[in-house]
Amino acid sequence: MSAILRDRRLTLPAGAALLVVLPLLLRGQEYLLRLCNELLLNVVVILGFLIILGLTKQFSLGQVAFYGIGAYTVALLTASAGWNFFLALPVAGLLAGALAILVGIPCVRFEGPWFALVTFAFAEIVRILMIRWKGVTGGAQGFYNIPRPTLGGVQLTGEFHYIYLFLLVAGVAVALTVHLRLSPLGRLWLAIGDAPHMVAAMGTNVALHRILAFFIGSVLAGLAGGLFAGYATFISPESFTINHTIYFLTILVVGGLESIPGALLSVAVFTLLSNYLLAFYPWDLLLQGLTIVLFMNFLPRGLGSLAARLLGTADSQPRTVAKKA
Amino acid sequence: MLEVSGLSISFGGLRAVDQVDLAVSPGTIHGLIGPNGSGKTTLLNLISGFYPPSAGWVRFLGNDITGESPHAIARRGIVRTFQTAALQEERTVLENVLLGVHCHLRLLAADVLLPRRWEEDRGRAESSLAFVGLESLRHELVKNLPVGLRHLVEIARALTTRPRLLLLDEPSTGLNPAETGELMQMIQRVRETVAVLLVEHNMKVIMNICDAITVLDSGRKIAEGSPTEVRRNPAVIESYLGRQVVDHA
Repeated sequence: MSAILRDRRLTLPAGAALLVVLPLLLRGQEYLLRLCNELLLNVVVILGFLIILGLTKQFSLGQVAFYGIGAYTVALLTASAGWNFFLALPVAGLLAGALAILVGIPCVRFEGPWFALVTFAFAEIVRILMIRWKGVTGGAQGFYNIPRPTLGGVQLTGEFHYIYLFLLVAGVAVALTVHLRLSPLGRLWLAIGDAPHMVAAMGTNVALHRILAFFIGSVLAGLAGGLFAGYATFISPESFTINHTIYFLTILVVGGLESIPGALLSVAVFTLLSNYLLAFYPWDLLLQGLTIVLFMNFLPRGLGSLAARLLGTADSQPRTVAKKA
Repeated sequence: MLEVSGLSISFGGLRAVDQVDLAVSPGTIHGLIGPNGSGKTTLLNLISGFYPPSAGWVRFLGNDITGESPHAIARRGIVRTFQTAALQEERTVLENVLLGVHCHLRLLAADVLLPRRWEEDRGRAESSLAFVGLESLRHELVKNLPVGLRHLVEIARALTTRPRLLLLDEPSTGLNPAETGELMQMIQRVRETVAVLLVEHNMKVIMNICDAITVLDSGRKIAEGSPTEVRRNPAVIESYLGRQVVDHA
């Protein structure tokens, strides 16, 4: 049995089959399906954040802005301009990515807190624009009646329809991130995160790679935002505040920053607990802060390292070879 | 191949490197020595583009590279190591060396996406590891290595980038005499394909393997020549070894 589980060639088709069958079992269970849909959206955002903060260690405090830009782009293109959702979605992702490049160019030369400050300021500007630019965004009341996605004359209606769309996008996001993480580019990005000067001394244009990582991560955030708009049919600036960035950050820290399995596990835990977390309002933010501090201190490699230990596999860390005698 | 002329930099009022001229010929090992604080590492930082010089110029293979960014200079074939070996602690020796290949990754889909290329990369890293004699430790985590071996990992990583000129900053730090001997042999083997500019405090290493030596003191060049010439130079003996040695001699 374990031999079958470990055979990597079987992992992908088996996993895909499971993902197709699982929603069928949940059919009719609207609440569970909604949780799954939320989870899948969060997966896309968090993996984007992982590429930026986990790999290249760029402390973006503006991920919610790219998520919001994606959402408003889809809302405007489908509701106001009459585009098909599936045409609007990639545009939303690319627009978020393009803005990430614009934000990134002036600030990739700075490290640590400066990058955080600039991205935070950008996110606030975007949020204020959402509120003030009433003619376009609907202002603080939000953007209503975003059409549901239509594919080949069939409109997505219930949670059950959406889950397959979200599974597809989240699946692509997972595959992309895993591939990146294992590829030479991913290793280089981790090294840029750890020791940018050393990497530059070997001939790498660190600024270029930082922007590229920021771009890819923000495209994922924009796509997730676009999916959210077509799913919720109503969006408002309240869904895109700094609190959401902190929420994403908490999830990523608990997952272990660099670990993809850790991030996925953490997304699942937080999505399932999110309703309970809200019950603590307004103390939920305090709880999140506390969680970050505790994890940073006692489990810096997050749930990822815990999962790796439990499964007996080394995921993000190379195997520790016994010290040479 | 490397020519440095009138190179200077000041930090506040301190002229850390002052009007230094230097030339490294192909196929040679050029030593750079001087007392602590004489500007050796600063000079390496100037050549490799980490500090912009306030005056003077650097030419490499006929091109003016003064003021270029570190990665551009590295792409031209000047690759350095750091005094405190800059390595990824939590990763294995092989992964660290592989980074030398990855650093020259072109952002083309074929390079990034095809696992076949990854295997080629691995082959290059393995051969660099064999060159420095660390192949048996390839899966060891870097944080478990003694200080001396870390410099070898760094040299192996630098070699995978196929440099034309290697700038080594005190590679013998932390090595015992036997290991230092191996290091010297290795640097001499490197010389066949790569010129070396070597900052070193270990006189045995410098005197035995260098073809030419430049001596710095307080940021200024005080002597230059073959090991024998430098050893006899009174200015060197005075500034580097101290007056007592001269008195006792």
